Amino acid sequence: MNIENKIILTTGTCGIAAGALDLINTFDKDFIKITGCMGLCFLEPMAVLQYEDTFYLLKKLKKEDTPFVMNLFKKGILANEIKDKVYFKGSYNEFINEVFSGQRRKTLRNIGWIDPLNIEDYIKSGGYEILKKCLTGDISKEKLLSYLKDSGLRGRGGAGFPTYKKWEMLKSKNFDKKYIVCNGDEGDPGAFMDRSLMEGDPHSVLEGLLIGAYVTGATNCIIYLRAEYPLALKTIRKAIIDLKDRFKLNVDISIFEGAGAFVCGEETALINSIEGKRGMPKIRPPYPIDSGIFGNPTCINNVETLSIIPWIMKNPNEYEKLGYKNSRGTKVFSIAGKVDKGGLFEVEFGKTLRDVIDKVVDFNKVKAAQIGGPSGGCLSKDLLNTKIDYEELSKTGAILGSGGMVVIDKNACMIDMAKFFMEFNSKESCGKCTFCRVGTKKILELLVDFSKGVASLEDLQKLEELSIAVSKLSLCGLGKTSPNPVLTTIKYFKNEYLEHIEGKCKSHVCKELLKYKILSSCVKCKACMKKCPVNAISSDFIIDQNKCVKCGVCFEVCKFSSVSKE
Amino acid sequence: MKINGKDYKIINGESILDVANRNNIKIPTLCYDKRFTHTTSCFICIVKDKDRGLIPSCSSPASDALDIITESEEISKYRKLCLELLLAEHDADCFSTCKTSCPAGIDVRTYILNVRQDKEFDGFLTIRKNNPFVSVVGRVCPAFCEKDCNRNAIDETLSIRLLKRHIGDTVYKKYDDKLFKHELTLKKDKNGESIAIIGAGPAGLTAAYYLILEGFDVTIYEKEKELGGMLKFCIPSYRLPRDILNTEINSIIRLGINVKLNEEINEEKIDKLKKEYSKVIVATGAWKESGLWLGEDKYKNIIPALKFLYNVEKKKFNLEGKSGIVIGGGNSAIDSARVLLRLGFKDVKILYRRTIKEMPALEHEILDAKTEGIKIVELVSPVEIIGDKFAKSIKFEKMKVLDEIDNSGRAKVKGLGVFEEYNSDVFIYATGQKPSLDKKIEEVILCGDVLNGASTVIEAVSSAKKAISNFVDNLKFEKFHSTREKLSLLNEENEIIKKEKIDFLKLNNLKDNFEELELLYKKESAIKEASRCLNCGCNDLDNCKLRSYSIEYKSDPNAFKTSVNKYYIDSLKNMSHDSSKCIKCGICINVCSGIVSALSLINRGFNSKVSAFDKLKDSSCIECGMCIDSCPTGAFSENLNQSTWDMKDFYVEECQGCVLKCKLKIYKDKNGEKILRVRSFDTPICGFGRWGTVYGFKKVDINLEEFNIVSNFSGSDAIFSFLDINLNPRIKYEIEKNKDLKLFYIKSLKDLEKVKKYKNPIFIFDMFNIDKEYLLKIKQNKVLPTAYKNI
Repeated sequence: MNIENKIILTTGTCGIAAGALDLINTFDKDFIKITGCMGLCFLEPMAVLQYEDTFYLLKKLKKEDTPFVMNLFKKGILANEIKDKVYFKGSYNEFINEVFSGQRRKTLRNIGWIDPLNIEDYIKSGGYEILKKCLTGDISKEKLLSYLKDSGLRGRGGAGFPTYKKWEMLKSKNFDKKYIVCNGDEGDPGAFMDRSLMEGDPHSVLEGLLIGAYVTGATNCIIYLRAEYPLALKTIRKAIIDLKDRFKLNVDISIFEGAGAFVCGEETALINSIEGKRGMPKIRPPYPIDSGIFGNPTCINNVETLSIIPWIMKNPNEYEKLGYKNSRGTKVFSIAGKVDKGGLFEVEFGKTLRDVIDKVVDFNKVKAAQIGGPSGGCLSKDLLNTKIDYEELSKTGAILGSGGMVVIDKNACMIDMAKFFMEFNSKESCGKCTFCRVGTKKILELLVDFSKGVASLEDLQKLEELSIAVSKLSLCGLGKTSPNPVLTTIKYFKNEYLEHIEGKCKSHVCKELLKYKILSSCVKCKACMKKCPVNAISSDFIIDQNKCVKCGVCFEVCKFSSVSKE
Repeated sequence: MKINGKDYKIINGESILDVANRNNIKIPTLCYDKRFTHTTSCFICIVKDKDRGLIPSCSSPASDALDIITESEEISKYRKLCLELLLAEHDADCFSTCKTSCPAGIDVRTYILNVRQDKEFDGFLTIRKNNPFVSVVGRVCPAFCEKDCNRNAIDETLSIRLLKRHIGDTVYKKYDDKLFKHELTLKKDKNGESIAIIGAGPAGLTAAYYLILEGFDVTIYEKEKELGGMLKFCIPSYRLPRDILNTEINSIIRLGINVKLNEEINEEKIDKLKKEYSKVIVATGAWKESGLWLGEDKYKNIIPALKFLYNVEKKKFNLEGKSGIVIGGGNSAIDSARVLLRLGFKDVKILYRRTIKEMPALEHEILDAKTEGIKIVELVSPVEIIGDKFAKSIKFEKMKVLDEIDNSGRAKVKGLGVFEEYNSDVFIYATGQKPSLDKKIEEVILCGDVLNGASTVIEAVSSAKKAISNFVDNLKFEKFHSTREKLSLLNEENEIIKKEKIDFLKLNNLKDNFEELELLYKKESAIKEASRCLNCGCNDLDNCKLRSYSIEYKSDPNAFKTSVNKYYIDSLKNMSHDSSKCIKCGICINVCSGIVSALSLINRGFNSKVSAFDKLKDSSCIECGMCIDSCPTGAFSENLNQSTWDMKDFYVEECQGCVLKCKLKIYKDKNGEKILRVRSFDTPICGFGRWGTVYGFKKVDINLEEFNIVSNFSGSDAIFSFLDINLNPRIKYEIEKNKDLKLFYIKSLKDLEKVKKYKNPIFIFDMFNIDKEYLLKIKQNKVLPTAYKNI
């Protein structure tokens, strides 16, 4: 790694949210290199310092820390004042092995290390080598396609369709107009790998897209990007200008800003949206590859898929060495939820989910994990030994999806979790087909009944039947997978549903079933009484359940643990 | 491809549904319209393929590899579920709540509208369709309809009962002869069957009325020497004047019913009747009275209420005294107390074991009783009679109402062990009635109180209809009823309109005065009151695909109806859009996009809604009404002045609005008099023709053939339109069909220059303003007329 004495400041959206922009101005511009997110979001705002051969990873920096950081470059030693902020110190290789322990960073090879707004930085790291060959014709389309085929790469958007097949099909179409689309409409709550890639390594995405256009003979390249990713938009936009300028390119690359509908990540809805229509899915067949944008053949690839392609082409026959059975290579997970180390995690296929979770949180605290976004499934703890593999995961009722992983700890109520995801799915339904539009709403209403303790055994059956019907009879993938959180929680956490029927929520999450009580150990200090916002605590220290709004203040203020949750 | 095991040929580009339709295989669908590409919204058209499982047939391309079945238990299960989900967002009443809450199912909405239109006679016939007692029920009905009236959500209920009474009294006073003549025309030819009815109370007379109209030979047996049963002997005449009652009974009897009075029927006689008649109906009421169980029979001055009222009516009584006590809380108790006042008793009390709130008597009756000076003592129950032969007083125990509910659905009471004595000259108890029949009789039809126990007149009517509906077809009532959340009905512009109050007769001395107290509505008041009606209920029942499929697949309209979105009804002059009924099939959007593109789908998920951005009146909508024709649920509908629940089937007629003579589907009311609705037939039609026909614009006295004007697009080469072509869906449709057809919008005389170029031009103009001379000129020379007044 060729880094001089410099400070890397990671300012992806996560860094900015944590306050990285305040830091930038406090540093001497010559010393710093501004990059995207490194996937270590839990450390933000962070910085990587390289002084001679030693790398320092500093966490949770504040602008007051700047002089102490600069101490390193002035005096060759880090000031004592920020010693506790050193997350890691060591050589580059040690850095990779320790900080990214358990990971195989292929897709994430550049993020956090290169300046996304500087095309030269990407080229310096070996980027655009394949594009150059494509432009000069030094490498044949067939060869590239065979590399792709050998790599075994499958679409990372969720369905896992072999990427080379899509390209091959598009290549075979004889049309005046052919589209290749980069799908950057990442909408799953808790998924952010596409955003980080577009913010931190836009040129890899663009190179992948252009290689695709070269191989398939696509006439138009479109990047469909959600408008809620302003930084990614800005970065990609600059990258396109730089790219065209640098290579004197005359290709049609345009950006479409999505208007914030989750369903537009579904390819037929995405096409409708590009055509200027309401983002609603169409039935397939016809598949977009046969009849896509304005009836022309259209190949849609995910951001993550495209950004690994330059690496695959540069290192033929390397990618397939990683992986498990039919899932070759690596997969990026975005880890969120109740974890200590939230961020991006790229792991080889064939490792287990537990291998990943172990690295980010104490496994003893874990109860379950939601894999595959809101339309994925909730897997119980014992199932977390499942291998990361498209097929293995489908068997459990979850899906690999785009790689969102929300870790759920012991304090969570699974009905509440299912409710959360169904609320999202129901809200994001496009409203076209009956089962998704009305069905998801009714599933949600049934879940609310459970959370209120007014559901019956018949309701459980009704809930399951309705969920199955919605998954069978919805028009698009969003609808078909939307009841997964319910179906998997019923499958793996049925006891919690039964408890709620009896009016109990053991995790004390469902407010309607929660009762605060003052125990006999009460020392009558009146702390709770003073803080209660609705005056529900009487002078003889009894909580009036009709008045209580279950805010939990009494529980929190009691220093003698004399308020109990029931 | 294979459908249900048989092979069918596919024409290129067809979907499974197309193939099925072409071969008359029925697959239900709500969102598919052959004019447009599929939207795949409803998912009712699912079929099962051997390999691919359940797939929507409307949008799955037909292919040789398919082997599908169109009906199975699984498919039906999912179609049923699908319909239930759609019904969950279809927040609409099939029928108005006043109709559904009426035990007899009277089409209240229509007769209210008839009052508004000053057509009491029509209103009378509407009521008679479901209930022969118009004036009677207009007086004594507890009016279940008023409790359920949607008007309650805005201000207060419509006075439905009083309007009914207004209709009845007006018709008997003004149109009695007309009524008789008209009802004679309704009578079907004799069918040869004869039926005996025992008991001439409300149930017996109801059965008699409908059976005589159906062509049966009806004989009614009555043990008294007058007809009417409870109506006559138990409802005092200040509530139901006898002249009105007799007129109403006569209006039934005069249709040809044989009457046998003074005929006490016992079991033996019934056996005889069974042999003589093909059917015997027993409607002898509930005349047996529950006692107090305190040995009251031996006291002369303790009288059961019905016996008391009966004897007062027959003038058999000579009760004397000053004070009277009535025990009970029903209508008979109130009636007895008020009659006591009229017999000259000064101090009258009603004693009831629960509270006034729980009294089964009508609220206004209780109020009237109080106004007349009757005291009501709550929470007391009789325990002991004091005195011999002549009761001096009765001892009552104080009671307490419990939270529990007893078998009859009322609150339970408990004695407190505290006692009070009440002295009185006369005691009347009204503590319940039982059917007059002790044991079951084989092979007769029971109806009314004898079957159900004491109930209201309207319930007796309903019971009689139900009993005979087994062999009289047109009394059957379709039960399927989708329901609506009360408050969501409201139109944004609904304003508070005060109920029209009615005057009451003020009496200074009640003694011997049995005059009716409640006065009639004046005509203006009645019309005003009727105008408060909100026209609830659906006008599209006969066309509603959602309804017919729901009936077919036995869907429960309330299976998932837990929460709904509240939408205001968006009204234009001639038509309205009610989003609450919409099932988002998207057909209207497709239809409209070919005309003015006023509609689109907005919002997401359960909140999705077809909308014209904000309101139709601010949109590009031209009220052509094509959306109405294609809507599967009546979310778009005409603003009608009459409910179409009894509409006649349509016939096809040419539109008189312009020379295009579009074919129209015309629906008339059941009498074949009034055009209720106009729909398009094979081509789109314009709003002008549609509403012009509905509202009956005068036809123009021109014979178009005389002018040899082309009124047919085939063979014509150009259209010259004086009407704005953008407002005419038909012209748009023809241009789309035939791209060579030239189109000219005539805005000035100059535009007519081009006419000469064409061999068979077609001229479109407003037929209500057309100038004959002008037509002639075009016909003869294809030259320009000097002037045309529309230009």
